[in-house]
Amino acid sequence: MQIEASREGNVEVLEMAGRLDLAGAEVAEKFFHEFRQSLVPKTLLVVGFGKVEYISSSGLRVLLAAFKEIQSGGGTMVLCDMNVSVEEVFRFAGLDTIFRIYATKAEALDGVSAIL
Amino acid sequence: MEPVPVSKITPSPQRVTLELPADPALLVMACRMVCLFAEMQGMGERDCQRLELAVDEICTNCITHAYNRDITKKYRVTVERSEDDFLVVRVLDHGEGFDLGDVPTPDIRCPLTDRQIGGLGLMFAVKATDELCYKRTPEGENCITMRKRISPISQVAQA
Repeated sequence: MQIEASREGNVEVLEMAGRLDLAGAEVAEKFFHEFRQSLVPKTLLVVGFGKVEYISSSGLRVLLAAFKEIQSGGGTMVLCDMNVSVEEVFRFAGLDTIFRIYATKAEALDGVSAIL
Repeated sequence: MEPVPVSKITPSPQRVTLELPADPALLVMACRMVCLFAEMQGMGERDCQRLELAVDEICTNCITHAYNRDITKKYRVTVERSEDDFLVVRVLDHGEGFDLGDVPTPDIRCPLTDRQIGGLGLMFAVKATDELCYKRTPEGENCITMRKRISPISQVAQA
């Protein structure tokens, strides 16, 4: 699991790559722990899944924890660019009704800015 | 000339077994082994992906619950094709016995503030396969057996 962070305007962008299984979730959890320390209140975050080939409940757990934390700081987090099998896992978990999921990064950037 | 399905021309093993330490980094090997076997048997791509999810979640439970990530402990994954054209995957560990009925069923419709992930793995495995059952073997092992019908065209999974 690799995670690349960047910034576009006032939006933080994370591009994830690889498998978000138990091992990948451990990497992501460590990353989010450090990433959260650097965030300001009302953070807008886009997480790109374009290179995520697979996700399990272990990966969902990490994303849900990050989402709750960002929301508690008055910010929000949206997801984008998922392959069909990754999106199906979100649907299995009912998380497609919790997360805003956009088809493309451009739509996600527009969408997240409009939320707050 | 009609294309010959790969499963008809590739000699298929009857059963494959992999024994792995309870190391999260090696979990992918169990998934790949089962998926490769499923592909060789002619299972459709989406069904292979769903089976991968089921195997991953059950093996994750072995690693985290049965063995508490102790990499000196091992679990076993066996995959075979049944005579009635199901792929049958068994995951065995030497952890403490449990009752499937005791695993909480997560409420996937509750709001974010109340949302828990516990129990989601088992729910995924149930959704992603046609049958799932648990038994404690006479040898003192936990054995989860999953069956998924081998269909070249994946069926729509019920969310």
